[in-house]
Amino acid sequence: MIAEDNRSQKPNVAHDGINGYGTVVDVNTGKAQNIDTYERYALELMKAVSARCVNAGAIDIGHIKAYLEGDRLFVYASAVGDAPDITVKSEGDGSPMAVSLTINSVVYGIDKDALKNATDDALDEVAGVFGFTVTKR
Amino acid sequence: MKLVQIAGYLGSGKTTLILALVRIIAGKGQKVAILVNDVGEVPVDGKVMEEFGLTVKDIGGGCICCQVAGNLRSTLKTLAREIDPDMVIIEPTGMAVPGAVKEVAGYVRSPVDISFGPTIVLFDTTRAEKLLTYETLERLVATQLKDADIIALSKVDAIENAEVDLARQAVSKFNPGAAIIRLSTMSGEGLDDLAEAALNVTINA
Repeated sequence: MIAEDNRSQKPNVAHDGINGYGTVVDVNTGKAQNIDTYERYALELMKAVSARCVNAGAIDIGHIKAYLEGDRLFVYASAVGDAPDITVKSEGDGSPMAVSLTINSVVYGIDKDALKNATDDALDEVAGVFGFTVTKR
Repeated sequence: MKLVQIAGYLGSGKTTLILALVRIIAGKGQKVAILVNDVGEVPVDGKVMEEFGLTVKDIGGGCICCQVAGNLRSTLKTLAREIDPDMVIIEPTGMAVPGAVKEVAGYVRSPVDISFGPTIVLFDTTRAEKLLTYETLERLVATQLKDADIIALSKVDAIENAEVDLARQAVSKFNPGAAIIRLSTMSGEGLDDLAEAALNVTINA
């Protein structure tokens, strides 16, 4: 029976084994960065989250999707499969020194805590490589 | 208001297909709205589609085939009231059961006049073996395929034709009655066929 209001109901059993995790962070780069830097950052982030999920035992990377949004800048990235197949697209010509980053990971074969750790740890790792600071909202 | 569902497992290319398909359908004078459901706590697809200039309603917080099914109906009513589109393209989560989504949408009653277009289920041919090997994953993917009116074999540009044929044979076993088409949003193969189906095919609820 489907509820008449917007209350959450139990997940379908067909979803067994698939978990999702998402978060929004502020990324401070310390100085103005161009779109190429943000694209490389998004690419490395996709690689890092995927790798950490696979290392944690993921059977399949359903998807990892993220977008960065700043002054006159929008970068979208996605990763699919454990190879993984990564796409990065961008729009705008801004060079902001701070952006917001929204990331959403959906993975088959690891529990939600492991997925959260993989995503959060990758955010810290890649920010460190680029000299950026990430702050969770 | 015609509902066309574009479903399929995670990463099968639903969002990319919708971005391409809406341009074709809107180019034929149809007013199209998109309803997107993300499974993670924070939606991404809807924001990306908006950046591409599309009219989007986002549903987050769970899957519209089960956890937040009630939100699907209320959002469809809101779309009808605020936008009054000719067509709503529904992108459920990659783990959604398309038949359940259609059932939920079918509960929407007056004053919204709803008809159903085809349920299009994408199957990622580049991951065919994996998707049909792991038990619980295969169960989900098989369920999605069984609910399809049209199965779109996606990313056919990325593999050899012989592999596409093998994928076609594999998916047809789950749903022998479904139309199966080759799809590449990179080359455009299959896009016009899917747009025509979305516009002209009506399915009984």
